[in-house]
Amino acid sequence: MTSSSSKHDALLSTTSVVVRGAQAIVAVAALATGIAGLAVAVFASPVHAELVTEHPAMTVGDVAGLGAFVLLASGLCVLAFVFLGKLAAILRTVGDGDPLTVANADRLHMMGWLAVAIQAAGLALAVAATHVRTMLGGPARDWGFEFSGILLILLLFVLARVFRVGAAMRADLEGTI
Amino acid sequence: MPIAVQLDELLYQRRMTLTELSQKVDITLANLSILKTGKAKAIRFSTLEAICTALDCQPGDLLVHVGEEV
Repeated sequence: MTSSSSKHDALLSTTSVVVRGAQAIVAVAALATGIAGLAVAVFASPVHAELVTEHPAMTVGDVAGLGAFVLLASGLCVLAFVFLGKLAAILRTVGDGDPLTVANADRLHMMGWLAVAIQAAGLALAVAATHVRTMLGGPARDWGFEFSGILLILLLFVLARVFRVGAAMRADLEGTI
Repeated sequence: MPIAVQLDELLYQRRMTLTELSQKVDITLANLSILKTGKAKAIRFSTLEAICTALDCQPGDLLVHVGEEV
């Protein structure tokens, strides 16, 4: 693949735009939830004073927990940002016509572990969300287990192996005329 | 390199330039230079066939085993 042909690659261009757009969105979300979570956790007493009129059973500890919940959401956004950053780096190498590298294999491997962390954080958030919903008096909702997340993790680790083998084969072919 | 590529000698004998050979065998000048200067690690049979056809020679005319340098 030549770099000149990649300039007109609609799939690559579209994917890059989507990934960068998603990175921008999760960056804003991470910042917003981070600030909000910190504010709620640090200023738990004043926030509790505001909320206790509508939710008399709520304690200051509950409010601090709410802040931690929002901070966990921020952490998940940060993980997603790093994940998308790795993907963007891989897309750049595809654009340069040189994707089969050890660096990309390492990126995919890291993305696999990030996906594990995102799944774990998502699970923790889902469990915490049921408590928050109960605390605020909302209806309880069942959370479902997403099999697609497990598939994504496995796919990323397998792809990392594929890229590593590909890079080795490419290195072996280097200098062959 | 234990295998020497005698491309310079053969081109001289056939009164052909590397550029002309490149056009005949459809291999880039850069790759032929790599071959000529002994920097290639391997050669495909298809490349060997194309060069031998263009230069009307045998693989043994092009590739010579000189053994390890002492």
